[in-house]
Amino acid sequence: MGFGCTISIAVLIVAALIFGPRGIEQVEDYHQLPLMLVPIFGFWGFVLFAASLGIACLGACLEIALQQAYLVAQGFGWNWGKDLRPSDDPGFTVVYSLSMFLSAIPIACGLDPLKLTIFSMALTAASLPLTVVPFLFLMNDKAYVKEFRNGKLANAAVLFVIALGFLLAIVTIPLEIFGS
Amino acid sequence: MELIRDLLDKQVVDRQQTKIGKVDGIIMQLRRGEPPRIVFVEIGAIALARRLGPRVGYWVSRIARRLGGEKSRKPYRIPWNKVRDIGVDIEFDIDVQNTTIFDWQDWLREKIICRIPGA
Repeated sequence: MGFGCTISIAVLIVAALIFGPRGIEQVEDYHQLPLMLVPIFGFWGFVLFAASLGIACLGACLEIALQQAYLVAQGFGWNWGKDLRPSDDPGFTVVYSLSMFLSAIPIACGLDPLKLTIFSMALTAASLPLTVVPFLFLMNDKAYVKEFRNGKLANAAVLFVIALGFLLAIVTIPLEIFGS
Repeated sequence: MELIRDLLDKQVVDRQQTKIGKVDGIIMQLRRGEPPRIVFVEIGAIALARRLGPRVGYWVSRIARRLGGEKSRKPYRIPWNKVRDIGVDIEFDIDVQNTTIFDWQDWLREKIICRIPGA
């Protein structure tokens, strides 16, 4: 987590240093992004950018595909686990393989990746209450977690995050749809 | 024990702790003058579909029969007297390889997974 945060903060700082002086206030296209490394590294900056974008996308794709498989396999009670051999959990394996192919369809159909990213981030925030509220009940269920139940402070923190996410979603989704 | 809360939709494991599905349905027997008792739990897509409505159940049952033959027409039932442990998971004294529950996973393994290089 510390590593990821450091990288994210570094990206934000470099972006501000590069885009600010050039008068770019809003990144509207992926083609503008390599600009971040080109002034420093020249042509190899472009190569470096393409490579890091590729690695980041591959990682995210694998992670999200696995997440779908965990969701489906645990929901239906199948065997699951990325440490098992594929032949020991065929259902799980098929779900993550399929979700990687299915996820490529919208982009292959020509959807703008940047718009899709921003829209799905807003959707994620909107769906946060739906995924977290059941956990809130579970974390307060004595029969399940016994002495590890949430205290008042933890419950308040969770409720605050849910409310914040919901508010952000209410503000951002109409903006996304009506374009602003 | 509350049946809906503590039994329905809980994880089912066999005697080797293999995860074999969820408790998708509970079959009870009504007896004259005595309280009803659980006789089976049902596992599988058909039992799950029936809970969405009789028509959904009917169609899923037809699809299952077409794919898996006559034995797949009804959801798999585990006799309640095979139950060993009721906790977060429900353990039954059965071996999943002797049931039809994993037929579709066996099919996936043989026809698709094992043909992918590296699997």
